[in-house]
Amino acid sequence: MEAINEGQSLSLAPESAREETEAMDEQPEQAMTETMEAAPNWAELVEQIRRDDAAGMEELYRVFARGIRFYLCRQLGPQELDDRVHDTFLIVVQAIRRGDLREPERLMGFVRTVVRRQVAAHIDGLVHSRRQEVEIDVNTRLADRSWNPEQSLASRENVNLMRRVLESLSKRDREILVRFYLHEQSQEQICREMELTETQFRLLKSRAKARFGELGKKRLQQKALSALFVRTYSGMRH
Amino acid sequence: MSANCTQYSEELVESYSLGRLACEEGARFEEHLLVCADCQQRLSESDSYVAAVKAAAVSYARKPNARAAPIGPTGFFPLTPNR
Repeated sequence: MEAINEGQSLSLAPESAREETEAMDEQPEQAMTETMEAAPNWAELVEQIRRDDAAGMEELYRVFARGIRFYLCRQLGPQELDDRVHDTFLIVVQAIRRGDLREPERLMGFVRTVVRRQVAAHIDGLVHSRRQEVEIDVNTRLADRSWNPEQSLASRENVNLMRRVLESLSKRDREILVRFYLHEQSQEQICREMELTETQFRLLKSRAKARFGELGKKRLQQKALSALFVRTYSGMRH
Repeated sequence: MSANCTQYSEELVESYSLGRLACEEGARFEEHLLVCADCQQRLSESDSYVAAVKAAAVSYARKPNARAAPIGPTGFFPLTPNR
């Protein structure tokens, strides 16, 4: 059933595409609840890894697995995510054992650097391989292979729905959202050109943002319910 | 936003989502992001929201007759498309 959960955020991705991304949520329960408060003693953890202590490896995985998956998935998408996470851990562990991490308390920063390098290397590789494809056939169009036709249609429907939500806002609310999110204007520029004080801007933006979110969720709910109705109704006729 | 972490404000999470954080601040937040499930959720929600507004605004601007509509004060975006 396509019913929308209470706190569901706006998403243009069709349901089937979202399921792929949700693969990154398949993590041990413990890691799901990880917070800064539960962060371990970094120096001790690094020492355990240097000693090849299995408990240290487990702890490293528990603390960073979800975050690394999240970062890689956000930057590169869900394809080959498991392999990429595994490669990242491998690089981190090998580097620690080689003694490349001189300040153990900087482990978080070190992991971040490794993950960012992984992302950069992947993008470099992608650019290189696409350049080669283009050189082979200059008329080749680089197709978006991420969604199938049905998913693309569903996504287009969602975009149209969001456009109608935007249209239904007041002119001023719409202008603030468009300037801030689409044209990425600074608060100062928006205030100057729309003749708003900083406080007015904050209030208006907050209100417009909330309104767009509420209406968007409502419309998505209606769409899900109407799809369910159509399926149920056509099922009764057959 | 539904998550509980209070170390970083909603505004900062949104700025990161929009790629508007300064290098140092962005680096600190990214480190935190690696170990904070709450902020991962907040950023996901913010990413979805930003993508939805951007897509809606682009679609709105591309509507038939939209470009012939009265131009907004800054001259690049029609605020009221002709219907």
